[in-house]
Parts: sequence; C-alpha cells; structure tokens
Amino acid sequence: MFPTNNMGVARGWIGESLISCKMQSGVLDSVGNKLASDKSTLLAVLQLLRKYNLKNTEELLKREANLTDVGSTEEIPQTDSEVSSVLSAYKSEGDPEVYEGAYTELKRFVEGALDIYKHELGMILYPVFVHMYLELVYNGHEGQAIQLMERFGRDQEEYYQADLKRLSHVTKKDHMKGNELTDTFKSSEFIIRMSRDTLSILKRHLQEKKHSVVLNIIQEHLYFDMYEGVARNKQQIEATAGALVGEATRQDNKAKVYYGLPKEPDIQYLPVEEEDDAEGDGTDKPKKKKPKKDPLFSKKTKSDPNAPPVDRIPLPDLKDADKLEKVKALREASKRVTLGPETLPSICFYTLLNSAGVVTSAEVSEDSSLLAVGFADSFVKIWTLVPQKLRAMKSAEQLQDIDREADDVLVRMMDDRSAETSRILHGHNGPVYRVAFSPDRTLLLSCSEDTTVRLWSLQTWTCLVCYKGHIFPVWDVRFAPHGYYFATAGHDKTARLWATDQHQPLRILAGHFSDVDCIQFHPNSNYVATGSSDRTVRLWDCVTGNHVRLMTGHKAPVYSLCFSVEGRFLASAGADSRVLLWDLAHGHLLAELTGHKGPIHTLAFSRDGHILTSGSQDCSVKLWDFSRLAEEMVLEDVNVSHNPDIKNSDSYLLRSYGTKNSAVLHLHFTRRNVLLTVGIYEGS
Amino acid sequence: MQVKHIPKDAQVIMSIMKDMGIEEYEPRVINQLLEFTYRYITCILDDARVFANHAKKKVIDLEDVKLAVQMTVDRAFTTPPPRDILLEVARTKNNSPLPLIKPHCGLRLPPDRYCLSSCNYRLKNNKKPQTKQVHHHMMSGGNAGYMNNAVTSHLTHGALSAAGVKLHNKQPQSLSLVKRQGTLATVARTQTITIPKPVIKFSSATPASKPIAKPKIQVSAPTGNVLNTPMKVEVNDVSSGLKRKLDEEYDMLE
Repeated sequence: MFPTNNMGVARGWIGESLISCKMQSGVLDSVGNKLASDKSTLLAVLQLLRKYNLKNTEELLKREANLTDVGSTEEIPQTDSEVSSVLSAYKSEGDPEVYEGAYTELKRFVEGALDIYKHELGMILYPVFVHMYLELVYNGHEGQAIQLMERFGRDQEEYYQADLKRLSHVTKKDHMKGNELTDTFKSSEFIIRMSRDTLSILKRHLQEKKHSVVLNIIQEHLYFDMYEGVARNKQQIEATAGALVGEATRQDNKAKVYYGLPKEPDIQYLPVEEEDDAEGDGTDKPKKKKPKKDPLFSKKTKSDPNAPPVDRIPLPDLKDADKLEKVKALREASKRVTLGPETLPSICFYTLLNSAGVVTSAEVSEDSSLLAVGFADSFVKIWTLVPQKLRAMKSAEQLQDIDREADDVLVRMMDDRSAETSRILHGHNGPVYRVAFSPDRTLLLSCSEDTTVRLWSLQTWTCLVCYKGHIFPVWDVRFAPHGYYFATAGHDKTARLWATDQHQPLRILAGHFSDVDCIQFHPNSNYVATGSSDRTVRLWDCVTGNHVRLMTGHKAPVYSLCFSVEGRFLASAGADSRVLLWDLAHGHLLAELTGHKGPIHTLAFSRDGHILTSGSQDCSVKLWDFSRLAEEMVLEDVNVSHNPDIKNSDSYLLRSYGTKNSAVLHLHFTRRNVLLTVGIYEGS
Repeated sequence: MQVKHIPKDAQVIMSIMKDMGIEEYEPRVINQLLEFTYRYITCILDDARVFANHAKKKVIDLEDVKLAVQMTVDRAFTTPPPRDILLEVARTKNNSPLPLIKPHCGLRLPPDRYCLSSCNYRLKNNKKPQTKQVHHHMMSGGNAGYMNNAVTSHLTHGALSAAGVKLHNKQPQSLSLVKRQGTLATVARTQTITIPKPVIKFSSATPASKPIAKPKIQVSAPTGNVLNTPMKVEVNDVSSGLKRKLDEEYDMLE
C-alpha cells in the first residue's frame, strides 16, 4: 500500500522522506558524522531512484552529491532495498548466523579477563545482546533471533529479565514499530561507566578481533563514560545497575544543587493583635515564643552555602493566616517527641475496609486533621480526623452580613449548620490516582486516569479548576511545600510544573524513558524529584526545567520518593522492595535498605529526621535508623568521582510492624511525631 | 461435582497470558479479554469489509485487513510521543522564566474562563399561561368553533389531524392562542397565505395514551386584524378538509 504512495510522489519528495526517515529512526544521533554511512545513505537513495526509474532525479542527485564515480552496477551491500532499512541504525551487513558466534566469543573474552576487570567488562554483554537481537529481528531473521534469545537470554542479570521478556515478544519488524522498549533501545545509547584500564583492554580486544558485527553495535549503541580510578567490583556495579539505559554519566550529576533550606522569613506577630485582648492567650504566646524562636532562626542565620537564595524561585508571600499557621506549627513542634532507636514512635493505623480494588490513594494533610482518599470509581472522599467537622462556606448573601474585620472571620464565614464528618467530591471521569492537600488546607488537588488534574476548594467543596495538559493518565500530583506550585507526573514520560493560577504548565520536565510514576518536591520548593518506570530517579531544577541529578540503581519501577527534613538526602523505593538513599550533593548512592518482601508504596521521614519509615504491599511497616546513617555519612569525605561505600541494611532496621492483611498505602508523621498509617485491608 | 468446562477461546486466552508471564489474575480478566477480542476483531473486519467494497472486491483481502488495522491503531491505540519530540517541546517551554507572583491575592486561580466557577445554568422565562388548553368537542359548531381568536386557521391538515387525534380531554377545552414573543416579527412579516407550522401547548396533564407529536400553533397577532383577513381565507380553504378530518377523528375517538 505505502510503497505505491511513495512512488507517486517520490520525485519531489525524496529529500523530505530521507530526512523524515532519518529523524524517525534517530540516526542523526547515533550514526554521527561518519562519512562512510553518509555515502551509503546516498547510495541507498540512488538505488531507490533506480528502482522507480526516476532517471532525471538520479542524475541530479549523482551530480550534486558528487557520486559520479558510482557506476550503475555498483554493489550496494545490503539485504533490503528499502530506504529505511539502510538509514536505520540496524543495517546489518552480517550474516545472521554470525551473531551467535560473535556473542559467544565476546562472552568468552569477558570471562577470561582478569578478575578486577571482569565485572566491568561484563556490563557490555547485556546491551550487546539486546542490540544483536533487535538487529536480527529488524532484518527479518526471526528464527535466529528467537534462537539467540533462548540461548543467552537466561544468562543475563536478574534485573534485566523483565525487559528481556518484553523484548522476546517482539519477533517481527512490524512489532518494533511503536514499541516503547525497542524505540528506547534504538534511539538512545546504553551508558556504561568504565575505568580507563578496562576500557583500554576492551578497545584492544575489539581491534584485534575485528568482528564487524560486535564492533558496529558497540560503536553505535554503547557509550562509555570513562573515569579515573580502580575498576569497580561486582557489588559496586550491581548497586547502580538496573536502569533502562544504563548508568548516569559524570556530566549528568555535575550541576550544583542547592539542597539546603533557605532562611525562614522572620515571623513578626502582627502588632495590631497585641492591643486586642480578646485573645489574651494568643498575644502572650508569641511574646514568649519570640525569644524561643530566635535560637531556632539564629541557627540558620549563618547562611548555608548549600541553600538557595530566597528569590531563586518566585514564591508567594506569607499571608496573615499562613503566619498564624506557622506559629502554631512551631508551638506543636516544641512539644513533639524526639525519636531515636530507644524511643520509637507510636503508630496509629487507619484501615480502609472493603476497599481492595476500590481505593487507589490516600493522603493526610500536613497538620493531620484531614484524610483524603481517592477511589477507583472517580470519587474523592475527605474525612476529618479531629473533632472539628467539615464545614462549607456560607452562601453569598450570608457572607455579606458577616463582620469582615473580626479576628475569626475565617471561622465566621463557614456555615456551622453544614458540618459533616466526611464529604465526597465528584468530578473525575476515571480512577483518582493521587490526592494532595495544599499547605494551608484550603485546596485539594487530585489527578486521575482521565488525564486531568482537578483543584478543589475545601471551603465550598466544589471543583474550581480542571487542568488539562497531559493527554495520558496522570500518576502523581504534589503541592509545593510553600503552596502555589504543584507538579504532576504522567504516563506520557513527562512531569510538569504548574502554578494554581496558570491554566498551562510552567515547566515540562522531559527526559525519562518511560512513564513517570512518582514526583516529590524538595523542602525548599526549588527542585522536584521524579521516579520512573525506567528505574531511574531524576532531580529537576524548577527554575530551568533541566535535570540536575540522575540516579540509577533501582531494579524495578520507582513508586515512592521522600526528601529528608534538612533536604540533603533523598529516599526512594519501588517495586524491587528496596529503599535506596541518595546524597543529593553529588548524586551518589549511600545506602540500600532491604527487608521488605513486596513493592514499597510509601516512605516518610519523622519530623526531626531521625527515623525513616517505609510501608509496603507485604503488609508491614519498617522503621530505619536514619540519624545514625546520616552521622556516618558526614564523616566520609565525598567528592564527585569518589563513590562512597554503600551501606547495607541489617544494622539500620529498628523495627518491623506487621498487620493482619493490610497493604500500607500512606505514611504520615504528625507534628508531634506520631506515625499515622493508612492501609487497605484485604479480607481473603 | 461437575467439571467446569472452559471453552476453547478462553483456553486460548489463558495460554496467551501464560506465555506473557502472567501467573496471577482474577477469573474475570479472561472474560474481559475475550470480550475485547471479539469486539476488536469485529470492528476490524467491519472496516475491512468497507474497504473491500470500496475497492470493488467480492471477498475481504489481507490488504483490507491490514489497512483496517492501520487505521484503528492510528486512532485508538496511541502511544506517548517519542522522547526527542518531548525534549524539543520541553526546551521551548522551559525557556520562558517563571512568572512573578502578584502580591495580595485571594485564591490564586487562572482567568475565569479556565475555571469551573461560573454559573453553569441559565434560567428560562416562565411563559404566561395564555393557552395550553385544547378543544375538540366543539366540532358541532363547525368552523365557528375554531374561530376563537382567529387561531385555528393556521393549522395544517396534518397537524390538525394529529392534534385532533391526540386530544383526549374529557372536558371541552378551548383552543387558544399561544403568544410566542419571538415569532411576532416573523409572523407579522408573512402576510401571505403560507401556513406556518402550528403549535399546540398543553398545560394540563393530558393523559397521553396516544403519542403526542407536538404540533405547534405559532400564532401571534400583533394586531388582530392583520392576520384575521388572511386567516379567514385559509379557514375557508381548509375548512372542508378539516371537517373531513375531524369526522375521521370522531370515528377514531369512538
């Protein structure tokens, strides 16, 4: 069908089709400026023109491209005469039978190398295998491809088996079109970090053997990020291996990240209030609190070099209500229990009954007064966790009558008669995958499979805005800690940064190779971290929209992220049942906490940052000693290229709490360090 | 106990799932997949038949099926855009700096037309109940009965028959004017003998055992005289026809 179309408009269109084919197959990226390939491209075009008897165009091309020396019977080495096959990165000159032999030979070389280099060299086996397989499939050698997969597929690492299974379903060239996995492999290079010595050994071997097949693949599809130093051992390699396209280059993690917290604005209690004796309590406390606050703030006055300047990202000013809230929060913080290995938190578990397959997400507000649950049938239900009930705002006529100058105008504007313990919000067209409270608890965001993100008012209990931008399900939405901004993560491989008063996103964070499953704001609102199904965690700068850190090491999709309280560390966890701890200063993996037996969906740091908790589908909550880990971390001298030793989990696990049969959905520390957990009870 | 006999198609689905490596699944999944398969294949084959007919072929060919698949895939099973396009879009979008935040706002929301905060309903005008009552028992009066306020003359044959048939009211009601404000101008202009579609509005709950076709009387007299004259003419013209129809209706009603 389509070749005939091509023929019809071939004459004037060859140029464009050439370019479009090239773009589609991403050849410009991978092929580079090799003169030989350019020539072969042009030869392929010549052959196409000849095939369709377009003599004039042929002559023109020959003249313009200086191919006059090409005779009409020139041998063009290719098995397929289609233009795209030549232009594609999978042009295979080789005999299909050769592949297995080449791979076996490569494997033998790797195993025969010295022990120090063996493991690093072994890292090339997987990408070479994948590309061999794809080349065979692309060129139509289905039988050999299947044979190759059967023989060597099992040998690959455990964490690649899932991808290999997906690959093994691709057996014909048609299957490759539009397949996300094959597109990723075809268009992006697999990155391997290698020491200088290992690299030289590999290069020498390849030059000696002159195996064109393997050489081609390595040159086109692999990228070696060289570093100075000792070759890594198996443990170190395994720690950071597992991502879809290899590891992070040094370039990826070079940018400076301001992971500190900016100086808090000094909260002056409004002078007006001091004269007002109605809240004698209120006026007293701040005066008493001020001296107490000062030490807290004075700690930060010696400016943290790692903190971002306050005006790096525009943030909304604090309103009076926000300031009151902050004072309240500080008051509660002073009463909180300091946690540690000796003092474990009390845990309160909210179990959602009859909710397996129905409940998709749960969230507790920052001050622990509201619980919002998202359902698979598109509702969002909000409960109050404190004696104060949920009130709706008065109608417009009633609002006109209230005294606007009163202190408690925010309370007066709510209608007492409408108090209820729970409320339902309708509006979405599909399962609600995440709900997020705004820091001031007046707004709620929810994202859903219907590709929209909705902003709800928790005062009028209606939907205010419907943000449309993603055209695929949105998996996660979070409010920034300072309010105003929110970020979403979707199936379209992007994360987006929005502001509540913009109907379109402010930043598009593109770069992941697969869906972005979770997203989290840094406590200073300047950065967002995303975890994806391509098994990497990226840190993005909100100001520029570029990624500043790329962290690999997970062996399965990442489902949960959590920043530490002071902002330097990031904990991530996912379907591989491990919690990984990263140092944002340089993007290094610090520790790997194993123990869970099921996918981990939620992480939380205690308010004082001493304890890290993780909740998983294996119906347990585990507590880890983060303070000791952080102590041991600062003792080490870390710079960009030195990878610190990775701590292992056994000594850090403080306690593990099991439930009857409730998968843990959400963890939340109250301001006084009580741990609230929300889970789904699965009856039988 | 009887052995559960799983049909062959379901067994095929189960083997596909095993092939893909899916071990645990709810039993409903097989039914859903089967339903999807049937629906999808029927859809494709329908499209293929259309293409085959278009190409004047007697039987569906492989090419038709391939084309049908292509069309459906482009429309229904879209995948996210490729990474390089996303990077390009992102680069363009991220070039603009973050907007400054205006101080002193209430709730920060986008411009009103992007919000769902406006009123989403409009109140309809409540019409003055001038008419709404239908009369059909005044047949005996002949045409005179229909001459109330010079209304009825604008009924067409069909409409009247429809109206007549549907009038099942027990009490005699009078057919009266329905003043339609909007149509004043239009009706006034048409001084010719074109008969606009009549409307009858029933205000009382008529036991509509026969379906009501909603004929309309669009009569409004800006000045009574203007319309009267032509109406008179029409009445005369149609009167005989009407009378016959009415007689028919009487028969039907009894």
